[in-house]
Amino acid sequence: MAIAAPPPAVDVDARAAHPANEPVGARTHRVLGSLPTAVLWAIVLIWTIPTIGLLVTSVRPEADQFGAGWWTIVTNPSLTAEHYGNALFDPPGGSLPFSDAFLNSFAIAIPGTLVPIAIAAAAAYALAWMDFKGRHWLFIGVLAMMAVPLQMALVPLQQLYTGGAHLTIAGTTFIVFPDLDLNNKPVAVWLAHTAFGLPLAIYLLHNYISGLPRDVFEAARIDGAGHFGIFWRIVLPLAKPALAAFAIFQFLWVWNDYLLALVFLSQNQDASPLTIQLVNLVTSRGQGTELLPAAAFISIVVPLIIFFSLQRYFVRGLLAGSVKG
Amino acid sequence: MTTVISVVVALTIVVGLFTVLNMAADRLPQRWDDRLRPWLFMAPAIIFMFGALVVPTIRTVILSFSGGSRGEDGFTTANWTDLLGDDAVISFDRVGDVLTSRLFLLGVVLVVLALVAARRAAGEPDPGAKRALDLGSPVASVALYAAGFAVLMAVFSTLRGVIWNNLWWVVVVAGLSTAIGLALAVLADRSKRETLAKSLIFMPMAISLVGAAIIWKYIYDAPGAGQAEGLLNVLWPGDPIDFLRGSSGATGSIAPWNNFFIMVIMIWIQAGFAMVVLSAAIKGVPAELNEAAQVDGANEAQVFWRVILPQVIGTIVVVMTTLTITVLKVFDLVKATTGGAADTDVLANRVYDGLRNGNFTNASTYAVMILVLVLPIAYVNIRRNRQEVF
Repeated sequence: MAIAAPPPAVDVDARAAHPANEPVGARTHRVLGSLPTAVLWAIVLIWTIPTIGLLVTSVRPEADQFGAGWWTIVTNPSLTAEHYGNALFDPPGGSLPFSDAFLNSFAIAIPGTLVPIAIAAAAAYALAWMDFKGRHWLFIGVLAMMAVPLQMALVPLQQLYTGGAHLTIAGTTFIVFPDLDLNNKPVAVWLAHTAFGLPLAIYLLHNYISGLPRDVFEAARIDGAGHFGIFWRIVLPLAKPALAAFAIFQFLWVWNDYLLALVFLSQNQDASPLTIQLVNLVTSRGQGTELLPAAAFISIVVPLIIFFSLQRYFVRGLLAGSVKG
Repeated sequence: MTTVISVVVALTIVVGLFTVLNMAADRLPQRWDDRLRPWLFMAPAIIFMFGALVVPTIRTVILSFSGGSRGEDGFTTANWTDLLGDDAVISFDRVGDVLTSRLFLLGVVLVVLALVAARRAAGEPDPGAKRALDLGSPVASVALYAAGFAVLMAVFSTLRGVIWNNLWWVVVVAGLSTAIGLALAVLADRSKRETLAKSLIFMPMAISLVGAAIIWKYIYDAPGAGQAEGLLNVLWPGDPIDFLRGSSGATGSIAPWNNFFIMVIMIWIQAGFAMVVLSAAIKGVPAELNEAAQVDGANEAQVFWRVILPQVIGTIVVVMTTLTITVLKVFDLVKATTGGAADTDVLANRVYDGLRNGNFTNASTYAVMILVLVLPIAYVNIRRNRQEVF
């Protein structure tokens, strides 16, 4: 058995670490090794430039906006907050001030988030932990509804809102849904959002709730709790991460929505949310275009705040729907 | 504000009702409780989904087969024959031009390249191996992917029509977002400030499509009345081009490639989604597999391509199908940039136009067309879910 040779008297390590003494190719490796990082940050820069451009343009005086590009702000800084003021409180042409549109967006997004979550949580629990005939098919139905594009429901929903729905059987007419004349009211928009958000909500919450440990339920049942008690006191608190994830997801979706607001609120200027007012400003051609960047930023500031502070939950919601565990 | 308060009140009443009904159910004998309780929990969901999704869907299908603008006349297939016969919607006139277009030739060249690379890869390290072609090698796979992409680009930029446009959207956005997202996931994985980089790339997902359209307006605009020169035009050699509407100078045009620039906005938003999902999938590959491969002498690229990638193929499929379904429904972005003009029309825009004009049967027909395109993709998605759920 050979005995290991005594270490050389010279300190090999210190010598090898000196750049001049690097093995051939190690230097190339080092430079090339940082290439992926360089590429990554170049891409990140390209990705953020558009948004930075908007932010910078929004604080430039009108003349500068149409003159040189926003990057000249480095050599020629002149900032103004007047566009924000005008957009929020006094836009030209008598269109709705963005401060009102801002509140309108909340008025649609908050119910459009709370209501589907409440309904979906109950349904998800039932599908996950209650045994009843037809639960399999109901779940398939939920999955199928996830696939249906919302354009499929627009026309009939609008008819439902304006005329109600009735069924005539054997001469007598039953009112299935009363004629509430809901069209052009915010409630029409968030009711539609509730319906369209339910399939995904049930799917995501079901995914999470069905993964909760069985022993917790059994312990509760031994203690005499029924389904409602378990749902209220155990499932809801434990499901908070999933509930938060979906809440954020749904809130952003409703806040950013344009199609449903356009279809159901077109004649009601006073109740229109930010997305509608923004497009109105774009297409107004001439009046108030200098307010556009500021207005756009007003519309994205809430999503950005939510995104950066609660990103973890947003990502979790996304992943729950896409990556199978 | 009063709306929100009234909603909170309504919500409290409903929750209260739910609680009371549950407590009543608690008094029932066990057998009845077991049968009724699930339906109590499911009722609101079933009512909403049935009334606002199932019934309307059926009604829309029926409307697409009805005559008259509101479906008052009887059964007819005229809506469908009109739609499919309309050259602006779908036309095969220029199929021949596809085969001679430069993109198609590029695709052919890439396929040849892929086959050559596959041949060479099969030859090493074991020249005695039986396989003649190793299509799984990095160069071969990438070349094949690029070839497919080029050919499809050739098809959809030559054949024009609303349906072709939607399909073009699908190929470009799903294809490029996934590829870019995968590349970013890999790049970010080995960098120190990974979370920050991913945050910044993912951020556009939080912005509305309308907001994104405005952000990119300042990149794409051509100098003109009431608008400054966009960033891309400043960097672009040659005459300024209105990238969204396609006009270049007084007479030139880059159509139909103006569509591509609108799609770039969507990619800007969705690549972050692909990156986040794929990054999680890549990190989920068991470390032992990597280590075993490295012990066997594989270098980093080979470990990624032969070990990690096959493991995440399932997720790649999920990402692509999710993106496809999202893109087939695209409306906000097109409406906010061009309104559907300049050869950028998409199916969802036609649905909206029909609705606005009171031509409900027309709108329904386009909506069902979207459904027809979405269904096969959704079927794939649902089948994967079924296997994992029950």
